[in-house]
Amino acid sequence: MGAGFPALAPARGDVQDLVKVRGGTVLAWSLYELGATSFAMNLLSLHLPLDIAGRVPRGSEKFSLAFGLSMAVVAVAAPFLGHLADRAGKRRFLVPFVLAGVAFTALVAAPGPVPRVLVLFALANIAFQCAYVFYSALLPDVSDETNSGRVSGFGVAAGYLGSLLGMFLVLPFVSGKIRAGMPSFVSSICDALSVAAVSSNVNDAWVRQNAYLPTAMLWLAAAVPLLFFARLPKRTPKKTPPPAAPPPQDGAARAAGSLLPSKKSFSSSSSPFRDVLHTIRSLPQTPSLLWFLVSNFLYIDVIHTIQIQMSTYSRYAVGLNDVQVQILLLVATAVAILGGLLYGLLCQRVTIRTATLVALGNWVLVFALALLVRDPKAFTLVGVLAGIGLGGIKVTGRLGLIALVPAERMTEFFGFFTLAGEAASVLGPFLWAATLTLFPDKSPAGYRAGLAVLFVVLVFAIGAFLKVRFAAKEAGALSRIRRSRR
Amino acid sequence: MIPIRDTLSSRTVPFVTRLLVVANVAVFLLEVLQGESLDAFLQTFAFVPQRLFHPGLYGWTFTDAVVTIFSAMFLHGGVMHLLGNMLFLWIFGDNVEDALGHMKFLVFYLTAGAGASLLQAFLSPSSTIPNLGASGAIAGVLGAYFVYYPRARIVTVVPLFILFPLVEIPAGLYLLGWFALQFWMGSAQLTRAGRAAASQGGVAFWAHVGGFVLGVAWALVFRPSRRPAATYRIS
Repeated sequence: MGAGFPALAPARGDVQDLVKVRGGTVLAWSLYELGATSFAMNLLSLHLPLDIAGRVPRGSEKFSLAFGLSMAVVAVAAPFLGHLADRAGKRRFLVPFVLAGVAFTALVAAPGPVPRVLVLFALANIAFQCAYVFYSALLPDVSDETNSGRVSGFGVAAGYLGSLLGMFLVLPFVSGKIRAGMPSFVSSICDALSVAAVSSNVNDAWVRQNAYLPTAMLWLAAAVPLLFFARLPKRTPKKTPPPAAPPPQDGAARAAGSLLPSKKSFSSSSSPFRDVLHTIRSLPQTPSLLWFLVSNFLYIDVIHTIQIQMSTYSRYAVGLNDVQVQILLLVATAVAILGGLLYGLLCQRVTIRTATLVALGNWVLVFALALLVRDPKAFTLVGVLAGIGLGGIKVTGRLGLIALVPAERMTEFFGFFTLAGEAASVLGPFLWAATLTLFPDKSPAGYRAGLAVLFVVLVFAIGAFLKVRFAAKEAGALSRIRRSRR
Repeated sequence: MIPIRDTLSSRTVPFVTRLLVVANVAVFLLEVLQGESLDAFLQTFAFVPQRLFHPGLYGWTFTDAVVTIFSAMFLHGGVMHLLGNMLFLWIFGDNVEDALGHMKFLVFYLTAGAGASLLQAFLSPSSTIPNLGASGAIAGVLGAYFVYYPRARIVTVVPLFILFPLVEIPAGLYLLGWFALQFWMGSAQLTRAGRAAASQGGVAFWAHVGGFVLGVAWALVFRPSRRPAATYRIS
C-alpha cells in the first residue's frame, strides 16, 4: 500500500526507476484495464445505451448528449490534471478518480428518473476517463524501452478480455433465462445483487439496469492491485534546477531524439493553468506533435462514437436483436484482444507511423462495410474488423505519443492526448445526435447518415496523420527512439 | 475492527477537532434533554431531502432547508452513533487538522459533511426520512487522511471470540477496507431487498462514500499548509 503513494511528493522531480519493473507490476497494470473496460463495455457500449434508448423516446440522442457533455468536462480538465499528476504522482490521482467512478457507476443502477441516471452516468464517465489518463500515463513506469510495445499490447488485450468478462459476468443479472440455467448459488447471488426483478418467461426482455452494480464491483476489485500494491518507480526530488531549455525547434529537438524539450523553463511555483497555456502556445513549434494531436482528435472522435453506438446502430440500422447484438460485441471484443496483441507486435517491427496507418486503413474498411452490409449475419464481419481496429488504434495511439514526448512530461501530454482524443468525443456524439434528430426516431437511414458523417471525419484524420514525422523511421521504432535519447 | 489510535503524532494542538467533539457531545446532551419533544427537535434540525427540493410543502424557505444540512451534522441518533463518530473524528481529525491548518480544516469538515448530505439527497430527493449525524463529514476526514498519511499505522482491536488483540494496520489499507465496506453496504441498499429496508431508515452509506471521495479530492487539490510529521510514535 505504502509504495503506492509518493507521500507529499516534491513539487518537481525526476522519475527514476528505483525498482526493477516486475511481472507483477505489469500484471497489476493490465488487471486494472481488465476491470475498467467492463465499464466501457456495459455502460458505454452495450447495456446503458440500449437501456436508455428503451426507456424514453429519443433515448439514443439523450445518451449521446450526456456522454458528449461528460467528455467536454474531461477534455477541459484532462490537461490540467495530467500536469498536476506529473508533479504529484500519477497513482496519487488515479485513486480518487477510480473510487469516485466506481461509486457513481454503482449509483447508475439506483432506480430513478432517466435524467438523474444520465447525470450519474456522466459523473461516472468523467471519473472513468480521467482515471484512464493517469492509467495510460503509467505505461512508461511499468515497462522499459525494450518492451513497452508488448506491455501496451498486453494491456489492451487484457482490456478486451475484461470487456468479455464484464459482458459475461452480468448476463445472469440481466437475463432471467440465463439466470434460470445457472447453479442455485449463482442465482442466489444474482438475486441478492439485482436492482430490478427479472423474469425467465419474457423473451428478449433483458433487465439491463442490473448490469451496473456488478460492473462497478468488478472495476473496483480489479483496480486494487494497481492502486495499492503494485511497485512503481519512486519519485525523487531534483537537486539542481534544470537549465532553461532552448526554444523548441522541431529539427533540433528531433536530433536529440525528442520533439519537445525535456524540461520547461517555467518554475515549479507557476500555476498549472499558466504551464498548460505555455504548452499549448508552444505546440505550433512542434508541428509533428500538433498534427498528431489533431489527427488523434479526429480519429478517436470517430472511433469512440462508433464504439458507444455500435449496439444501437446494429440494433436499429441493421436489425439485430438483443442476442445478436450481444454476439456481435462478443466477437468484436474477442477479436480486439487479438488486435491489441498483433498491433503491439507490429509496433515492435515496423515504424509507429506505418502501424498507425494500417490501423486507420482498417477503420476505413470498417466504415465502408458497415454502410454497405445489410445482412445481420454478414455484419459480424464488420464486428471482426472493428474489433481488430479497436485494439490496434489504442496501441498505436499510446506508443505514438510516447515516441513524441519526453518521459517526465508524459502525463501532461497524456492529458493533451485526452484533450485531443476525448474532447473529440464531444464533437462525435454531438454530430451523431444532430444527424439522428434530422430523421424519425430510430430510423435506419438516420443511423447510416450518422455513420457517413463520421466517415468523412475519419478521412480528415488520415490526412492530418500523414503530416506527422516521428524521430526514427526504422523498424522497431519505439525502442530506437528511446535509445537515441541517451 | 475498531480503531484505538494512530501512530502519527500531531505537532499542533488540534483545537478545532476538540471543539467539534465537544459541540457534538453538547448537542447530543441537548437532544437527551428534549424528552418527549425530541422528535419535533429532530424534525426541525435534521436534514430532510424533500424539504430541500420542495421547502414550500413544509412552509419553509430554501435557506431554512440549507441550514439544516449543517445543523444535522451535529445531531446523533444514539449513544453508539455518537461514540462511533467521535472515535473516528478524534483519531483521524487531529492529523488532518495538523496538515490543513485550523480554519481550513473547519471549512473542509463542513464542506465534506454538506457534500455528503447533498449526494444522499440527490439519490433520494423525495425522501422524508430525516438525515442526521457527523458521518459524512468524518468520512471526508478519513478521505483526507487516506491521501496525506497512507503509511501511518492504525492500532485496531480485532475481536476474536473472547480475545481482543491489538493489531497495527497501515492506514491506507484500513481506510480502503472501510471504503469498500461502505461501498458494499451502499450497493446492497440499491438492490430490491436493500431498498425495502432502507426505506424504513438506517445508515446512509452513500453519504459515507460521497464524503470519503470528497475528502480525497479536497486533499489532492489543496496541498497541506505544512508538511505532515515525518516521525511516528513508537507503538
